[in-house]
This record gives sequence, structure tokens and C-alpha cells, in this order.
Amino acid sequence: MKRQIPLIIVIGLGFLFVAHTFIPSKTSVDFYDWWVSWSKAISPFAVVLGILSLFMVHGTKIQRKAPNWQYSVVTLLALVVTAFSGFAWGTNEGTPFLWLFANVQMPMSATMFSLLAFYIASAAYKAFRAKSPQATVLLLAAFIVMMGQVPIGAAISKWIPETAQWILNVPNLAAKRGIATGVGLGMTATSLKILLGIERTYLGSD
Amino acid sequence: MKVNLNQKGILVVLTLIIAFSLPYLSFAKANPADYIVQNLKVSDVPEDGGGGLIVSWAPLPKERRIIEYRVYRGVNADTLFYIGKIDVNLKTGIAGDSVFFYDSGWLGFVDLESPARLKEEKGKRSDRTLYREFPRDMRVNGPELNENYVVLGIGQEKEYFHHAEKVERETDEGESEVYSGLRLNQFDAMYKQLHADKEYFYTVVAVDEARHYYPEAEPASGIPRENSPEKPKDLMAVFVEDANRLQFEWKLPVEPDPVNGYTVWMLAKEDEADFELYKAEQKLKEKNKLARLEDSEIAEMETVYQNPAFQIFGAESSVYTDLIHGSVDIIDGVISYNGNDYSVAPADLEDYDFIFAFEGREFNSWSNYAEISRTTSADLPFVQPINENTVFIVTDRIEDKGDYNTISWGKPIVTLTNTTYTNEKRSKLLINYEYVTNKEYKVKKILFKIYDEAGSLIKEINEYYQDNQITVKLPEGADPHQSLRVEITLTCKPDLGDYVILQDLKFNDFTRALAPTKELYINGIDVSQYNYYIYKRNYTDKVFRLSKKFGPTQREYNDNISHTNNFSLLVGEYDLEKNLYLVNPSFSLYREEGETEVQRGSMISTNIWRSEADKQITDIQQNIEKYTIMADTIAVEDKENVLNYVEQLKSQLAAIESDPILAQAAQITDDKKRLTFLRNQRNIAKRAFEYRMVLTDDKGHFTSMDIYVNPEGTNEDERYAFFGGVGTNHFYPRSNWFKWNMFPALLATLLFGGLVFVMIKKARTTDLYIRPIAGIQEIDNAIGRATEMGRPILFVPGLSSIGDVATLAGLSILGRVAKKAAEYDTKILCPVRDYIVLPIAQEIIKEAHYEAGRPDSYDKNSAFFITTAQFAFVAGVNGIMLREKTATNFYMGMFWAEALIMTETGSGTGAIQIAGTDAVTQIPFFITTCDYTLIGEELYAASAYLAREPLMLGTLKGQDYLKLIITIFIIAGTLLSTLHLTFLINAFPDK
Repeated sequence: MKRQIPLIIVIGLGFLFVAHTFIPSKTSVDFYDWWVSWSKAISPFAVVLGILSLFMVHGTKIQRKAPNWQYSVVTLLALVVTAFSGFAWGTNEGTPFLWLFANVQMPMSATMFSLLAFYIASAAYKAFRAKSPQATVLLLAAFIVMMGQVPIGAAISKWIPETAQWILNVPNLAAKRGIATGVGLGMTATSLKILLGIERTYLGSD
Repeated sequence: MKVNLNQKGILVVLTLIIAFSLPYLSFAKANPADYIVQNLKVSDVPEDGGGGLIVSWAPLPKERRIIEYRVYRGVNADTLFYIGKIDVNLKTGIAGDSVFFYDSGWLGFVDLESPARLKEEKGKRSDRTLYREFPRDMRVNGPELNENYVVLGIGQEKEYFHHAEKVERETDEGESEVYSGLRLNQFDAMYKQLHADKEYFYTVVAVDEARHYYPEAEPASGIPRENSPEKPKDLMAVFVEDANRLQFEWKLPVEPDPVNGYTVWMLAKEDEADFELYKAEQKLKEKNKLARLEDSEIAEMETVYQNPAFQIFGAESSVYTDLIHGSVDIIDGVISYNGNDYSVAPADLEDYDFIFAFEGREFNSWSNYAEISRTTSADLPFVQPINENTVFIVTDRIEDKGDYNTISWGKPIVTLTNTTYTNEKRSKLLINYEYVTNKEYKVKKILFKIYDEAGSLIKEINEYYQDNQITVKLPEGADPHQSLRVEITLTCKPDLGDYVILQDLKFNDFTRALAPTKELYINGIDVSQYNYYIYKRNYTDKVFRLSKKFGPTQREYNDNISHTNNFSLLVGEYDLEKNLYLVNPSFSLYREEGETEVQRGSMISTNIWRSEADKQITDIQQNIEKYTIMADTIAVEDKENVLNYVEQLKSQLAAIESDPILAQAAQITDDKKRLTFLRNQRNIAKRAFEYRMVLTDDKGHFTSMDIYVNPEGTNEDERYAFFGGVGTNHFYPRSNWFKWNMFPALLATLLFGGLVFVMIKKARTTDLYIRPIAGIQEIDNAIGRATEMGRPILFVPGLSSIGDVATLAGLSILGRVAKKAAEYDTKILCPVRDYIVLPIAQEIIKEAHYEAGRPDSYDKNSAFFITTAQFAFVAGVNGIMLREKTATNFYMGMFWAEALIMTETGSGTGAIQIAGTDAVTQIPFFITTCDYTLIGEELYAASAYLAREPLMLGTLKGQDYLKLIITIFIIAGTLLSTLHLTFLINAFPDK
């Protein structure tokens, strides 16, 4: 029963929602909206699960004095202080919560994001080494597209931006659409597998 | 100095405490007196209906770093409630000398999000009390109802009709009064408006960026007054000579509240001086009225001048009845209006001024004088009929939930929008175009003929597939600056007949390109100057109201008629004992005009409580009897009034007794069914609309199209039995049961399902070939490597939610990987970003360990939550890679910008990495930095590939075959389109 009841719910509601895609009637739309509003109610409970998980993982580390347990103290402290400041003073402009968000979380997120530039340079170096004929084609295509994006490319030859645009619009777009078609079918197939109960791994078993 | 781990921890904690205290330490103390708002004033909103005040004050200097001004209002200066705020940008401050806050219209009063109890506002102040918003506490908000504010409650209709509580109260006269009682949670919200002629007090509190609330300003007061409407913009007056018809066009008011009606007046030019005197006197009388409200000792001003103008047109106005077109017929030299006949010879119309007025409740506002302009019917805008029977049609929009009517008019139209020379020689011209059609016509092809300045044909282009652009190669040596003429003809189903569109391209010196001209000719008539106006009305409206305005190139409009599930009722009373807000249980019904002579828009009321509905009839009968007897006993001079009142009561009784809806409702014994029936009839009256259209040049030259009547319209549905017009001239949108534009998708889904079943059957008997996928084949080796090295495996199931199919695919792979890891007794770490994914991942890993026969090695903290913040999650995952030195990293699911940061870090730690995603933008990064990558659909195939079960393989194979069919369709569509055969691509919907 532990498996069957969730499976029945998934299959039953899954087919109803598939039907909703094709049925525009008010009954169908109202039913869908009603369910969506219910699904929103799940999130707050799941937040509790997430926070409990954080406390369990980091609490265990602190308790066992696992290597680098101090970071776990920082994590839990940051969680408690941020949550407390939000509950105590609200989340409006000028509150400690927003101050923490603007002066602690945002700069740290921005720092992580800015690392991406260096990682892209490093990845580009790896990708654009002409080790094989395919890699050479990639290198050439990348060179033309990059040159096509900057004024110097057009200054060298008017064909560079046009070729760059052609690469983006024709082979690149064709490949993207090919992948998108495959992804679309893959998603449909996975959804169908779930609806028919063929794929049950998400329930904890196959 | 060597710092041990405990000291390191204390240092980190201290640093954090200082960091968290910074917001408070960083703000210096300020003198509160410098932060009191100055020059606070309250004034009446001009030209409104008497429900608005303007609060203004001088802004504090930018250096004070004020982030908001909070406004408080009350009916006395000592108790004020928060009503709203003005936010201030710290960088720019407030430009100008004053800040304005408009307290007008319906503003929020109380709802479920209001505070439960009355709370005093923060900050120190005098003995005056400032409170936050009105609370939900009825002891506080109840006395404000009606007494201090007009309160409107809005909620779900079913609450009012089916879940209200009957409340009986005794009036001061000892009579019983019945209400419907509703709890606060039965309202969506309550809104309040100011009472006209009542004094309100206001104050303002400045709040700085540290959320310090400074003392309030000395309260100022104001009284909202009802004003005459705004001055109308100029009237357009046109006389259509051959039709003997006067046509008028005007502009709508900005503030419709004080406008009771739209009126047109005629004034003999010789009377202009008298009219000016009359207008001036009216202005003085309005001022006198306002002055008398302030000071009761001022005497009322006597009326000296009479209005020399006479009214020839009038239409009732309300917020919902916008009208900007009117016409008056002159029949045999006479204009009749409202029972009066005015002799006006058409030849003498130039001797009159035409004046438009917004009719106020007491005083009118007048436009400037308008001169008549003459025209003939032939010169009025020509309406291109949609077919031989009618000029426009109204239908129920198919494929919706019953909330749209579709109005279609005219024939398809093509307009040129832009041009670009695509080569340096300027010999190749790219012309962009747009075409608009409606449901009556399907465009099959568009023929463009391009002529040069000399009128020679340069090029003919047939657009079989309309991609909104054509390319024209100009002849060798042609002047790229010359004007071009484009002649457009369309081949449609059904045939358009003679229908030619012309538009010119002229060189624009400013943009240095050929630009389409504004003029657009259809069969030689320039249509660019005309606009279409759609009017509509339902059974509750007396007059048509303006619904929408469209330019000359629009051909279809979907009119939204939302399902009326809400009620809005005035809330004037409350019952503290029962905690109920009391509303009127009486509601209105509307019917078509006709048999019972009930006029359009007039209403008949009944009651939620059956007993009260019956009592209403008994009361009328008793009053008829009472006043009939009284008429015989009173003085002769009063007798007529009493008898008139008796007649009114009798006609009211006759209307109620003869009303078929009420008669049917009375026969329904079940109260709930009775109310459901009445509610449905109300909704039909509100949601069934009839339409008319007007084509105009916005200068009074307009052609009015008749109300659309469906020639085949009949209505067999008994729900509309009391509304004979539904289906013929009134259109009630119906809820539909199938989206026909989704039919190809349904067909493809069924085909796919069929293919899957066939392939599953085949897989049970045959060994199906599946293309080897290196990334999947290497999964076992990668797990083995981690086992050999004695290090954990990292599995990231994407950053998306459980609603994303990629996450589900990732979790399926997690199950296989976790099982293998459990068999090898290798630790698996699964950080998740979405907390709904967390329990699922935990359950999957747990089951995998049980299936592998290793429940003892299961660690409940294998799957754990890090954070929902994207880059904080990456930082966490990167930290795990570096600290735990994971040997194998899996990234399976949906990823965004963080993908490269994670995989590059993993690459740096020397881990073997296998990624799979359907995010096209991240695939290149994975290919570059991971050892193996599952591209797009391979992610979805992985689970089947690993399971190797007939069910899974059959699905995979079915997917491949459907892909083959799609590819065949793409190739066939491309080939057929190239041969100008577009039936295949047209068989598929655009979206």
C-alpha cells in the first residue's frame, strides 16, 4: 500500500491534468486552479523538512566535532540570526534582514557569479585546443563568432559578422532545435512512463 | 600565535555578531524635531464626486535619508490610523516642493491580512495616538462603518447567496429589519471611501533608512466636497444632409464619478451673451453652495438667468457606460427630445452653436461652442462588409472556458511596416509586412506587385508561406531613393472579390531609408484615418457602453467576459455579538425588455430569504390598502400625491407578480436551489452582450453599424428561457470541451502511446538494439573508481524543482547509482537545492540500500538540503568536493549558470565527472569540463538504458520511432512548402 496509494494518486491525477491540457471548459480550469492552490500549501511543510535536514547534517558534525565543524556553526548561526531578524523586525527596507541580504548575501552571491568569467576562460582554453579535426572546426567556428561580435571583425571583413550570424542562425540553431526535439520527446516519454507506472524510481524503488 | 580549532570557531562567531550588529551601529543619533514634516495641507480633489482629498507637505531634505512618509487619517485629530505611504528613493530624494498623497476612490479597509488587534504606531510622540492599519477586530472597525466611511465588501458570490446568516434586528421605530450576516473571512476584502461633506484629519510621519519613526506633524483637516464635472473637450458636430441627421462625437471625462450624463445642446447664436451670463451664474451658484456648506449663515443665491440653450440629446452615464457618439434625426424640420419639439430648419443650422455638457448632479460643465459641419452619407467612412450579409459578426470564441466573445469585421488586410537595404549597392530591399485576418477568412497567398516611381512594374512576389518579409531586387542602376508603390492582393478562402490594397514607400531623409507611408488605400479609399469603436451592452445596461477602440488595420477582437463569481455590497452595519458584518439581503434581477413591458436595464428586486421576499409582497399589498383608505380621508390637495403613490405601488406589485423569473423561483421549494436558479439568471443577464460598431475619423464623421443579429440564431437551451435574445442578438460565451488547435498534439500523443505499447510488446520477445551511450556505460566504472579510491560519490540532481521532468529523470538515475554504490559499500552524497526534492532523494537512496541488501550502510544524511540560493548552493557543493575529495561527480538534471563553476571545480579536484542535462545553454560547458556528457534526450534515456527492462526499452524505442515520424514530417513540410504547397504546414497550429 505504501507504493500503491502514491502510484494511484500520480496516475489518476496525471491523466486528469493531461486531459486538462485538451479541455478548456470552466470545470476543467477551476479544477486545475483548485489543485494548483493546494500544491502551494505543500511548500511551507517542505521548508520545515529542508531546515530540519540542515540542522541534522550540521548538528551531527558539530556534535561529533567532525573536521571543519566550525563552518557548520557558522551555517546554523547565519540561519538562526537571519530568520530571527526577519521575524523580529520584518523584511521591509531598512530592516536588519534586508541589510543582511544586501550586504552579506548579495555580495557573496555576486562573488560566486563573477568567478564564472574565469571559469569560462579556463573552459574555453580546454575546448578550443585543435587536438582533432572536430575540435579544429569548433575552434574556427568559435573564432568567427567571437570576431563577428566585436567591431574589429567587421573592420577586417564584412563577411565575418555575416558568417558569424550564419553560424548562429543555421548550424547552431539546427543543432539546438534537434536537441530541443529530442528533449521534448524525452520529456513526453518520461511523463508517459510515470503516468503509466513504468517509471517508479521517484517513489523510492524501480 | 597558533590558533586552535575552538579558538577559530569563537573568532568566526564574534565576527558574525559584529557583522549582524552593524546595521544598528552604523546610524548616528538624530534630532527628532528636524524630521517633523512641515507645511502639511489637506485640500479637496477638484472636479470629483465628493469622495477625495489631497494631502500635501514639504519633503524633508535629502540628507535626512528619509525612505518613506507614512500618512495617517482619522475623524478627529487625536486618533489617526495608517492609510498609506509615499516611498522615497534615497539617491534622488523627492523632486519638487511638495509631496502629494491622494486619498480618493476605494482604498483598502480591512481584510484577512489586516492585523488581528489594534496596534499603536512605533516612535515617540505627543499625547496623540497613531495607530497602524485598521485591525480585523470588529470592536475597532465596526463603529467606522457607515458612520465615518462608505465601506464596500467584495467576496465570492456563493458566500453571499449560500453561506450568509440571517440576522434580525429591531429598528428604533420598533420594526423588524432583516440582514444577511457575513464573517470577515467570507469577504475577499473591504474597501472604504470618504463621505462627502465630512471632516477628516491627517498627519504624516517621516521614516528614515534605519526605520526610525519620527514624530508626526501637527494634523491638518479637510472636507471632501462634491464638484461639478470637468470641462469637456471640444464637441464635433456634423450634419449629414441627405439623411437629415445630426451626428456628435465627444471625448470621455478623465474623472467619470461626478458625471451623470452626456448631453448635447443647441443655442441660437444670438443668445450667446445670455448663455454666458447663465454659465457665469451657475459657477457662482456652485461657489455659493460650497460656501454655505462651510458657513450656514450665508444665504442661498437666487437664480436670475435661464438657460437659453435647448437640449437635443442626452444619454445616461455611469462608470460603466462610456459613450462618445450620438446622433439626432431632424424629421420634417423638427428635433424631438424628451417630449419637446424644436423647429430647426436644416438650412439654418449654421445659425446655431452646439454645446456638449457633462451633466453633474447639480451643475453641468459645458464645452466650447461647436460649429456644424456638413457632409453627405457618401462621404462618411465606408464600411467594408465582412461578407454579403453583414458588416461584422459576433461568435462565441471556441476553445475557451466560456469567457470570450469574438467580434470579427472587415476583410484581411496587409500593411508594410519597415524596409531595409540588405546590400551595400542598395539594390536588394527587404520589406517587412504584417497581415491581419479574422476567423471568416483564411489567407492562402499574398501577391505583392512593386512599381517604381514611373509606374513600371519592378517585381511580382507571391507569398505562399507568409513569413512577414519579402525581398525585392531593384533593377540595375535604379535610384535607391525613389518612391515605390506596392499593390497587394490576397487569395483567401472564401474569395475576397475585388479587393486591392495600395501602400507607398517613400524615402525618409532622417532615417535614410524607404519608409511605408501612413496612407493605406483599400479599393482606392484611404482607410488610415479611420478607427473602429466597439460598443456593447447586457441586459442590465440601458445604453451601449464603449468597449474598445481599434485602428484601421485591426480585424478581430476577443471580448473578455469574465465569469461573475464576486459580489460587491455596501457594508453599513455589524453585529458584535455574532461577529458578523451585515449587508442588504435584497438583490436585483434583470430581464430583457418585451412582453411584460419591463424596460431595458430596469430591475426588479427579491430577497435571499424567501420569507422576506414574500413579506415584500405582503408589505406592498398592505400599503396599497392603507394608502387607498388614507386617500379618502385626507385633504383634496394631498389626495393626488397619495393616489399617485398607490399607483406606483400597484405597478411595482404587478411587475413582481408578473415576473416569470420570480414566478419560477417561487415554485422551487428547496431554498438552495431557488438561490442557485436566481443567481444563474442574474449571471445570464450580466454576461449576455449585444454589440454594435462605429467607424469614425474621430471628427464626427462616423458610420454607425447596426446591432449584430445572428440570422441563424435560436436558443433551445432552457437556461435562457427568460432571455429571448440570447443566441440571436445577445451573445453569451459558452464553455467548450475541446481545444481543437491541440488536436495534432493529441493525435501525436496517442500515436506515441500506441508506438510505446507496440514496442514494449516487441521488447518482451526480441532483443531491441539501443545505441551505446558512452556516458551511461561509464557509470559503473565511475562508481567502481570511487570504491577503489575509498572516496565518496557526489550526485547533484539539478537545481530545478520536482515539477521539472529533468529532475525526475535525474532522480531515476540517482536510484540506479545509489543501488550500485550501496552494493560496493561506497558513500554517496546528494546535496539538493529544492526542499521538495529532498525527501524524495532521501527515500530513493534509502530504498536503493535496502534493495542492495545493505540497509546497515544507509546514512540518513546522504541526501541533504543546502540552500535555495543558486550561488550559495554552488559554494556549498564546491566546498563538499574540496573537503570530501569526491572521486566521482554526477550532475543529472536541470542546471543554469552555476553548471560551469561546479564542474570546473570538480575537474580541478581530479574527480571523474558524468553530466546530463536538457539545458541547451549548459551542454557546451559540461562537454568541455566533464568526462562524459548525456546530451538532451540521453538524460531521459539513461534510466531505461540502465534498467534494461522491456517496459523501459519499449518506451525508448517508441520515442525513436516518433522522432523518425517527426523528421519525415519536417522534410515533407519543407519540400512541399518549397513547391508552394502549404497544406501540410497549415495543418499544424502556429503555437
